[in-house]
Amino acid sequence: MEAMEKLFIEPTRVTPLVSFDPEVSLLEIKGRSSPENSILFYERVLTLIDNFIESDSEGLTANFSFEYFNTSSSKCLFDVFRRLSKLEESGKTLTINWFYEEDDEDMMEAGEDYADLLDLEINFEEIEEF
Amino acid sequence: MDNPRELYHEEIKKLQDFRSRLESHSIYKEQLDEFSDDYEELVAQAKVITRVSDRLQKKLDSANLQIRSQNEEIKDKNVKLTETIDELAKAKVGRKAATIMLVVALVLFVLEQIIVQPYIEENFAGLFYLDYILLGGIFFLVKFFESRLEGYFVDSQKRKIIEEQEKQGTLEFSESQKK
Repeated sequence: MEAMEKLFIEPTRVTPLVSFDPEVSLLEIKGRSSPENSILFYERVLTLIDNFIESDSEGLTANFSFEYFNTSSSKCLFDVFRRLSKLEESGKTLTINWFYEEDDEDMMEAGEDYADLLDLEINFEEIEEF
Repeated sequence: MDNPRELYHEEIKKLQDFRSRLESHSIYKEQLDEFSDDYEELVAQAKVITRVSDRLQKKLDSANLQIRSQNEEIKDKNVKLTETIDELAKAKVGRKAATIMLVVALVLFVLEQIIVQPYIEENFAGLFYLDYILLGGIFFLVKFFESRLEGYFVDSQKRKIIEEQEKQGTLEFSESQKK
């Protein structure tokens, strides 16, 4: 099976940083997400998770730290979490960390909503500043 | 592979599949169950996405309100700052303009007494009030130029204060404040 490649997408004013390191099986999505075409942006993340499911890797750690995301991104994030849920169902171990800024309860609750709907175990971590 | 560049493309595809089965009358209970599960998931998804979006819109809205109130605060502070600069400039140059105009008034008065008054007495002996009219004219001329001179000094003093503040990098001023 082909080894997975590293992925790094620089953050912009409207798109988050996306980083995937196959050596440590770590996926990070961080920043603001309000791209014009969310589905196009998150397509690479979804493909990456699909490939990870097919790979020999044992488990994945996914870190999410959002300052803000728009409605279409929230749908795409839902799809990302659904894929992660499939990854777990495939027998791989999955750790999801949801970071939110101090006092940003809205962002924490947004994470909780995803966890509730998809029955995912998400670790919530409050941090001082992104 | 389907083109996934459309939001809800998976859900749309499922709906299209279901409709085509419906049209071909090849629907089984199993597929109806599957479709109702998909529909249930879609409703749950819509609920969560709406809730998440509402939360973040609330967050955005409070941020906007905060920005608006901070803008108002900045505007108030700018007005106060402009007023302070005006007062400071007026205080600095007010006395200077008054002194200059006092000297000018004295010179004009002396000239009037030495040159103009004897000329009037010699040539317009009957028009005794001409001298008073002239003195009144000098007074109003001096008053007019005093306020003009003060305005000019205030403006240049303001520019100086603003330039000094900008050089120090402590404050930034708008073009209207510099005028």
